[in-house]
Amino acid sequence: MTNLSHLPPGASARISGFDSQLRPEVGRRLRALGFIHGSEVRCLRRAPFGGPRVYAVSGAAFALESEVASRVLLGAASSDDGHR
Amino acid sequence: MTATAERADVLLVGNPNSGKSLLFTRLTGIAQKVANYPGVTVEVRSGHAGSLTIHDFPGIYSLEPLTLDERVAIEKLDAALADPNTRAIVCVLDATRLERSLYLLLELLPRARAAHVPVIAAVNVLDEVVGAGARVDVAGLTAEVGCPFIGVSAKTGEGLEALRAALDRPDASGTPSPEISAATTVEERKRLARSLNRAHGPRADVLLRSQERLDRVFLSTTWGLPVFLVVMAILFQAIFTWAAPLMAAVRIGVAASGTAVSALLPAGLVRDFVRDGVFAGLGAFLTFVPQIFVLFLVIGALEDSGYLARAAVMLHRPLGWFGLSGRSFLPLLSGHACAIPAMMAARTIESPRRRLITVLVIPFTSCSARLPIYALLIGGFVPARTLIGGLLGLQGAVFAGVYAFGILMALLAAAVLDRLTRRRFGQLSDAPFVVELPPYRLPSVKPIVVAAANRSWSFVQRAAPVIFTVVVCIWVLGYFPRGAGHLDQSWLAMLGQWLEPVFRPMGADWKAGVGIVTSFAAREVFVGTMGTLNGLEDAGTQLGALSTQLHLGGMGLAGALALIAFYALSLQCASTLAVMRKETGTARAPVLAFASMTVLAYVAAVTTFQVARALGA
Repeated sequence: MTNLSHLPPGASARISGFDSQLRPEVGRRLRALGFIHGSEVRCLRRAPFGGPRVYAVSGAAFALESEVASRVLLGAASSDDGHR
Repeated sequence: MTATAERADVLLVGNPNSGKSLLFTRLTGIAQKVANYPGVTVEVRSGHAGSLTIHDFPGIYSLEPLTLDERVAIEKLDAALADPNTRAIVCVLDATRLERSLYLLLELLPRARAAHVPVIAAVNVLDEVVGAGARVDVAGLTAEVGCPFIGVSAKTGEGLEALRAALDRPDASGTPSPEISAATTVEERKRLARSLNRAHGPRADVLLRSQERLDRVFLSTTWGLPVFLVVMAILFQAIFTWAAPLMAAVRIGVAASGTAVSALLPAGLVRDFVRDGVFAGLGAFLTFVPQIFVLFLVIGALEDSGYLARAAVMLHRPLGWFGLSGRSFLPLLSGHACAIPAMMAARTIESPRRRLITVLVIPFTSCSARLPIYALLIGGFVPARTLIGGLLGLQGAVFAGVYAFGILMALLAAAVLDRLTRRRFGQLSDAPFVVELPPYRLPSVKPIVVAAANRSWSFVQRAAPVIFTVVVCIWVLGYFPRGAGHLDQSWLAMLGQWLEPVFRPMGADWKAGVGIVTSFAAREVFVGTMGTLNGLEDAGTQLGALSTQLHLGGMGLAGALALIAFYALSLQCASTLAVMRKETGTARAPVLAFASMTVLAYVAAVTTFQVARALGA
């Protein structure tokens, strides 16, 4: 089982859930932003100086620091959305 | 309950970066009132549109709060919903981020229905979607969601008439589809927002792609830093060079009106007070307002263009080494103009602990009130020699060094405070760094100017009473018992002479001591005080003459460097302390900052003087 902080730039995957260590209100916010079970998420880039990674989800881009990204769990990698 | 026709309040709610502020400015014009709530960053702006009053609530992603600020914003929104005067809610949707906007709308609808307040969904930024060759099916959304959807563009003005017409007759008769009534959890609403967007919205990936092209430069490992440095150079140029003529105009204007007003008064105590107390104090303070206005202007442009979010993301990691967050960047940057707007800017930091640390270290950054002091001491005492074969002047290098020293001290102090506060606050209080990268947009001039003017006025309101009180106290100490022109025999001078043993080890005589004491009101009075004590009328324009006087008085390079070190580290600004108290909600923060920075400044000044003298300076 891998997590969002390991998703390399350019790659996509589906979200399979959250680590139980993630604070519930942070999880709720992430879900409200589009990080929900089964959603396709793509890593766009890594900020300079080893900074947060930028992810595209639900048509918007968000930078997540690695402590948060590492709590978002990923299922099998996918290369295409399939729903479009 | 009041009939709908008589209710006058309209609430504007929406995601951050949804163009809500521009829509608000479009609907209401420039006359705005800003309501701040103590202890938090929440501000609700109000303005009039015909007979209606429009209230612009802070941008939110969800009605489930993550931070204290969001909680307060949502409580205010709930209170407004329950108010019988509330006529309608305009939920501003971003057409380029429709799914996320729809989610908030789906959360909002049941609450508004429960309060019997009609909701109008304004699909904003329509121009960008149409420009990208996509469209939004407004009629389809209206039918399915059960509230009126109106396509608008705050930028071009499209659809604003339709929105005003809808506000004239708010309609709560629509019925939502059964799926919408059934969606109650985060997941259900999110999936519904997604399917609504898929059925009626634009293809989001097209819009994201254009933003990606620019991020490839602005957030690139190679180009990110150079671009950032260029942007910072422009910002510093703006606040130091472009603001200079405005600052000079204000100074001359205040001085001229001071002369004019005091000419009308009979000679004596009242005239002396008005001329040397009121107007001199006012001038020292108001001079900085244009610079702060320019700072807010540039920051507003950077914010609305979308670049500020990138800068915060890029600097998050480096600032993290010192216990700060990417969001601390803007406040620390603003501190180079003035600590007061900088502490206000720290409100956007979600983590209460990081916000506190940021507010406490801001006074280390070299604010522009220190500039005249550095100009006097560096220009007068540091030899005008060139370094590296004429490439760099020694004076310029010392100037740059003082700025770098301020930044370094701010970061080190942050690292220390990070260690000290970690246990107290616990990890839980650290809100996560989750930042949206908004689309790049060309900022509109009017809302930025209006916001900068509002913020500058808020600065004046916060700082003026404190500065004024302290200036009056110092004037009284300097005036009595002998009256005007006898500062050297005043209570202030007695205080300076009494304190001379304290200032001696840092190489300062009683005159510099008096200058330091008066600086506790505001640093900018140092140059003026030194001028008066050395018999110069307008020291601000005669720095050369003043430094000659200081040389004659026995000050040397070592003493000048010690004073520079003292001013770089001390927190001598009564308004900063007052605003720090307001922003942190406790008197302990300013007391701690003041005590530790004064001790640090004194130790550094004594060390500098003793070391410099031992080295023969």
